[in-house]
Amino acid sequence: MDTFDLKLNPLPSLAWNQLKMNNTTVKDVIPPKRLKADIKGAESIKTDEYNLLFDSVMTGCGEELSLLLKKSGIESAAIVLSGSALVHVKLDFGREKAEALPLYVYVKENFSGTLIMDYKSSLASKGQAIVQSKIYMEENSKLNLVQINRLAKDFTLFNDIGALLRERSSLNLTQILLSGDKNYFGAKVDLTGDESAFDSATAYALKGEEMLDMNFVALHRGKRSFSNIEASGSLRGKSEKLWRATIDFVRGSKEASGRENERILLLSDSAVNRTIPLILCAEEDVAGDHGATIGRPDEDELFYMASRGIEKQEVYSLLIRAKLYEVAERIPDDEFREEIKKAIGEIEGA
Amino acid sequence: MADNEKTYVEDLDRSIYDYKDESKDSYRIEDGLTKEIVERISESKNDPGWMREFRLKALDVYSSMQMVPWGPDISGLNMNKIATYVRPNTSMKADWNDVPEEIKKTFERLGIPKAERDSLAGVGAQYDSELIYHSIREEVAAQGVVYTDMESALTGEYADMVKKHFMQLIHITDHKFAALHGAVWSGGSFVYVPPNTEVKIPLQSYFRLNAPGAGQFEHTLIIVEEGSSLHFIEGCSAPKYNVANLHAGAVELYVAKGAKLRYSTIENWSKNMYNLNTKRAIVSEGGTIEWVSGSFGSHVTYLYPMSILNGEGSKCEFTSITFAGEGQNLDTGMKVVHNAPYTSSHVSTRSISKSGGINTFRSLVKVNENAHDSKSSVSCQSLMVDDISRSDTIPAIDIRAKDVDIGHEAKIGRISDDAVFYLMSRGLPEEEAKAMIVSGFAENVSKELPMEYAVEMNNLIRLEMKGCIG
Repeated sequence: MDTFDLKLNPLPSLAWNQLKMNNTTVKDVIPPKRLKADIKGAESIKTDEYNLLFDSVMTGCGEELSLLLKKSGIESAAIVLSGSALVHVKLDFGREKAEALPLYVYVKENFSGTLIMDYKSSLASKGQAIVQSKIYMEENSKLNLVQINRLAKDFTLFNDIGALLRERSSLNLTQILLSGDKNYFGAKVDLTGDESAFDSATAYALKGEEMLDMNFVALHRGKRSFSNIEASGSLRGKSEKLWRATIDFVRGSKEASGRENERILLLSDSAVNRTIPLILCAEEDVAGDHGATIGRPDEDELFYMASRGIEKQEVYSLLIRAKLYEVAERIPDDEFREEIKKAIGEIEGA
Repeated sequence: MADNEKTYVEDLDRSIYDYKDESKDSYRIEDGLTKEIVERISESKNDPGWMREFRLKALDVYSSMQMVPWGPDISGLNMNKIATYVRPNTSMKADWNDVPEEIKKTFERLGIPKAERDSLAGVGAQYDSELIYHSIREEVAAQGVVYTDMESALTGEYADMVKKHFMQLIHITDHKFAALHGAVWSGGSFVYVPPNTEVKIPLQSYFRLNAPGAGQFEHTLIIVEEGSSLHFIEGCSAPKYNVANLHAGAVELYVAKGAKLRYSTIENWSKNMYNLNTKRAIVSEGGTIEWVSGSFGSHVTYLYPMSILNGEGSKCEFTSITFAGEGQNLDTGMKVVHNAPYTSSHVSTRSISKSGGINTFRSLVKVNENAHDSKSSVSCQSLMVDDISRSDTIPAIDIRAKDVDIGHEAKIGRISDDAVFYLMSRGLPEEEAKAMIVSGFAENVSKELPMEYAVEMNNLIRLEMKGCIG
C-alpha cells in the first residue's frame, strides 16, 4: 500500500531552522477510509451546497492533510446547527487501519449550543485516526466545541480544526487528551467578524512515549476580536510535547486582544517540552500577550500537601489530574462532564 | 483647546552620525569576493600561515551555504558590489594627536576622545577595515590587562592564546555570514584580563564605517579569567549612502570561573547598512555574562547574542532595546543555553516600531538534561506607535530537565490607558504622564549604561509628546 509523508502544523512565520519547530513531518501516513460517525442532535445537510463556503476555511494542520483527504476520496459529513442544541458526535475508530472523518459544521445565525466529539476505538487497540472539523459560524452564534481523545493507547490521531467566525460569534473549544499515542492537533480560527471570539483550552497528561504536537492560530481580522489560547498538562516518562500558538493581528483589527498561556508540569528528566508562542502584529491599537510557566511543582504546594500527610506520589497524581479537571469543568453538559471526570480519575499511573 | 494631535515618537536624530569624511583611502580592494581577494587581504595583513588557510576554508564554506529562509529580505545586498577591505590613510596610533586630522575630527564629533579622557580605561577606534587608534591606561596595563588590536594579538606574545580561541565559539559553519566573516575579517580587539583582576572602568571599541559600498568585519575576542571582572562597551556608526554597506562582525567572549563580563553595545549604523552580526559567550562555573544592547540603526539587522552557560551556577543577564523606524527591518533577539545545573538567565527586552519599521524578536531558551535546578525568565515588550509598522515575537523554549523553573511573558500594544489614568490621578498632566511612560519603556537599557552612554542613548530616542496616541 502506498503511504504518504505529510508536512503538518506549519508555523505562520518561520523560526530558526535549528529549532525544528517550523513544522512536523509525519512519515508513512496510510490513506484512510471514511469513518461512519454517529451524529445525534443535528440535521445533516448535503455537502455539495456548502463546498465553496468551507473551501475558504483554512485549518491548523495545514494543506497537506486536506490534500490527503481529497486524494483518498473521502466525502465529508455535514451538519447544520440552528436554534439551540446539544449535539453528540461519536467516533469509533478501528474497523480499518486508517479512518478519517471530515466534518463540515454550519452554524446558523443566533445559534447557541454544544457540539461534543468523543473519539474512541472499541474495535482495535492500534490504528490511525483523522478528524478534520471545518466550522462556519454566522453572526451572533455561540458554539461550545468539546473534543475528547479516548482512543486506545497505540493510536495516532490527527485532529484538525478550521473555523471562520462572523460578527459577534464565539467559539469555545475544550480539548482533553486522555489516551492515545501520537497526537497531532491543529486549529486555525479566522476571526473575520467584528467582536468575534475564540477561547480554547487543551489539557493533557502524557506518559511513556506519548507525543502531542500542536499548532493553534488565531487570525484577528475583525475589530474588537478576542482570542485566548491555553494549554496545560504534564509530561512523564519519555513523552514529548510541542506547542505552537500564534496570535496574528492583521492591520485593521483595531481594539482586538489576544492571549496565549501555557502551564506545564515536568515530571521526568527524559521528557521533552518545546514551546513557541508567536505574536504577529501589524496593528497599533491591539493588546497581545503570552505567558508560559514550565517546570516542577510549586514547592509551597508540595509542602502544604505533605504537611497534610499526603504521600509525594499521590501529590503528583493530584497535580496531574488537577490540570485535566480544570479544563473538564468547561464542558457544558453535566452528564458528559461527569463521565469525563470519572475517566480522568482512572488515568493510568496518575 | 488645541486640536487633538497624535503623540508620536520622533525619528532618531542622526545629524552627528551622518558626517561623511572625504579623505582618500590608502587602499581599497576591488568589489566582490574571490579566492584571490581573500589571499590579498591575508597577505596585506601579514597573516600567519594557519590564518591564511583558515580564511580560504571559510570562503569555501561561505560559497557552499544557502541563505536562511526565515528573516528579513537581504536581496538588496550584492556581494559583487561590496569592497571587503578598505584601509584608511593611516596606521594605528596611540595618541589622538597623531591621527590624521579628518579622521580625528570624525571621532571627536562622536565624542570618543572625550569619553576616553573622562571615563574609560582604554579605547580602540576602528575606521573602515583597520584600527586607527588604540590605547590603554597605564594603571590598567599594570594590572596585566591586555587590550590590543586583533592583528597584533595574532602574531605577538598572545598568538597561541588567540589561535586556541579564534572562531572556536562561533564556527564558520554556523551560518553563511559567520563563514564570510572568517574569510575576510579585519580589525577588532583582543582583550585579556588575568585572574582576580577587577577592571574598574570600562574599555571601549568604536567602529566607524566611512567608505560607501564597503564592509566591516571586525573580530572581538575577550577572555576574562577566573575571579575577574570587566565592562566592555562597543559603539558603531556610519554615514548614510545610497548604496548598500555590510557589517558582519563577530564577538567571542570567554568568561572563566567566578568572573563577570558586561558587554554593552549602542548600535547606530546608517539606514543603508546590512548588519549581520554574530555574538557568542561561554560562561564557566559561577561566572556571569551581562549583555546590554541598544539597536537603533541599520536597514536590516540579524542579531542574536548567544550565551552558553556551561558551568554550574553560571548566569546570564540580557537587556535590550530595539527601535525600528522607516525603512528598517530589525530582526533581533537572543539565545541562552543552560548546559549545567543551577544556572540562571534573566532576559528583558523592549522594542518600538514606528513609521513603517519592522521589529522581529526571536529568542531561544534551551535547558539541557543535565541542567537541573536551573531558572530562566524572559520578558519582552513591544510598543507599536502606528498601524503602518510591524512587530513580531517568535520566542522558543526547549526544556529537557524536570527540576527547573522557566517563565516567559511577552506583551504587545500601545500605551496603556490605565497607566495614563493612574498617573493623571496622581496630578500629572496627560502629556507628561505619557512622556513618563514612554521614557520608562526605554529605561531598561539606559539605566544599565554608564551615564554618558545613557545620555547618548536618550539623545537617540528623543520623544516628543503632543496629545494622545491613537
